[in-house]
Amino acid sequence: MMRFLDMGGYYPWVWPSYAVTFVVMGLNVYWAKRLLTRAQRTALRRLQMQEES
Amino acid sequence: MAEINILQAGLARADRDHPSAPSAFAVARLMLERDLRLAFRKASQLVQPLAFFAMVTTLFPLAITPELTRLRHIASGVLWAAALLSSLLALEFLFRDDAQDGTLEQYALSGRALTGLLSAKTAAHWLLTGLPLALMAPVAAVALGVPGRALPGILASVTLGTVTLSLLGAVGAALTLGVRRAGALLSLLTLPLAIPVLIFGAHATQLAIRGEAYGAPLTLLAALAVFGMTLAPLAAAAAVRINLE
Amino acid sequence: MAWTWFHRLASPPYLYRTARRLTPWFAWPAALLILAGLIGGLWLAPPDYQQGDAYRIMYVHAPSAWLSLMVYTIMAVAGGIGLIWRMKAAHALAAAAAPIGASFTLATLVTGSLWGKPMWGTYWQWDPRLTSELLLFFLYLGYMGLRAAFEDLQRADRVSAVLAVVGVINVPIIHYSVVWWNSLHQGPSVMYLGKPTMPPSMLVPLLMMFLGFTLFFAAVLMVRLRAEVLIRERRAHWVEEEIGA
Repeated sequence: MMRFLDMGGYYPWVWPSYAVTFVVMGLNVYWAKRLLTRAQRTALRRLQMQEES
Repeated sequence: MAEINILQAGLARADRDHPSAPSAFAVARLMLERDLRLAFRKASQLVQPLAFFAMVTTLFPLAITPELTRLRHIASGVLWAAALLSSLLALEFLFRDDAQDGTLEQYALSGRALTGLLSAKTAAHWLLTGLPLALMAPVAAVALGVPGRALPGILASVTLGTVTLSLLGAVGAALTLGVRRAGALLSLLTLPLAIPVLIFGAHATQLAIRGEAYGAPLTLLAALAVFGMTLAPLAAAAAVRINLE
Repeated sequence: MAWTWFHRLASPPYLYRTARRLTPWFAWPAALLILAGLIGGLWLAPPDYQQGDAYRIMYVHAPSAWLSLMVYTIMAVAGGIGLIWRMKAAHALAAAAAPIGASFTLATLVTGSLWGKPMWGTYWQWDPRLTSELLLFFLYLGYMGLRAAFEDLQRADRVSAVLAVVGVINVPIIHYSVVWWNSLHQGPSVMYLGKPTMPPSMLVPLLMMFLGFTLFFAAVLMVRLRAEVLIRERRAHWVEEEIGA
């Protein structure tokens, strides 16, 4: 297990690389979901305003 | 507004002389002459890119070293970086005045080939900015300790390179036509596209400084210029049309 | 037959619904493939003869690089389709793809830098791949910056599409010139493992990661695409049905 984490001594570069990549993936998912919910909210609000007028 | 009248008079004359087909070339030439004439009215503005080029070139000896023997090693890089930045300077205004006073719109509506007109304006820009820069480059090179035998190569490479830079700049200016204070964005758009010019141009300059044959990168520079001359006006015209809608 | 499918996709409600339905079909296989690739690459594959365990960075670096390039191409193609056929849906796709591509370009640069430190001794090296990737990052920034500069969404769509097309034509030119520039200066030996000499135990997890990353992109794209379609819809009663009261 320790040998796995040690990555032949290269752990300061291997694990941060994987961390960065997964952070980027996570942010992509988060931002995409946030963009969609906001767009849905705006679209609904716009529709309501149109129906009221 | 007098400028539009000159243009319209010229167009009327062109239409009269060639009633069947007002040649696109004649119109383009008219535009070129007009742009040059306009630019020379404000001669002080012509000097600004050159002064900027001189100033930027001066920065490097001041920041690094006054020794000519050492400056010679970085001369090609300094010259090309300075040339790149200087040619970006007035790009924002390449199409702006004509867009604001409606001239561009008249052209787009008149049914005349917009690409020809934009080519003419780009040619004017090169004649007013690029070519003077190319003529100044050997002078700046001497100031950076470059040997005399390298000067023809420097002149040739910067001349060819600035052609492509003007073409790329025209595309950038067309894209950002409607954007207020587009200077930084224009640079961000144009500089990555200008990297091949920088690489081949600086290499040609470096070879010239070392006294070696620089024909290969020079040919590549020429190829880039030809490539740009075919495609850049098309892209610029598309962008101008979108921005005028 | 194929054209009806194409034209149906252009209809916003159809595109929205299709994107929503496709998302899990991309997301779950992506998760599984990436997991399998991780197990294969981090655990099962043997250490490299030259680089030891450091080469395992390749399993995230190479797919990120692939995405950065693939997404830019998709962006440009979508933009071109949007320009030629005046399809809002195509512009929506380009807008949706750009930030994803840019983020993976950044990931490529960071992982490349981290890989370089143990291999070359420095966090940055002006080798052709990293330099090209950096320039690609600037191209993405320029694209997104240009989009942001326009208030009118339709104009932003169309202008940035022109830029993307110009950019994608230039990417091979830029890459070639950077490779050429690098070869002149005898950079350090290439740090990437040659694919033909990779044993299956190393190659299979890599291919899984390539496929997994691509499907991940597709899944995120579907979500962003739905948002971009909504943003471009003015009077849309289908919206009410889809999102629900």
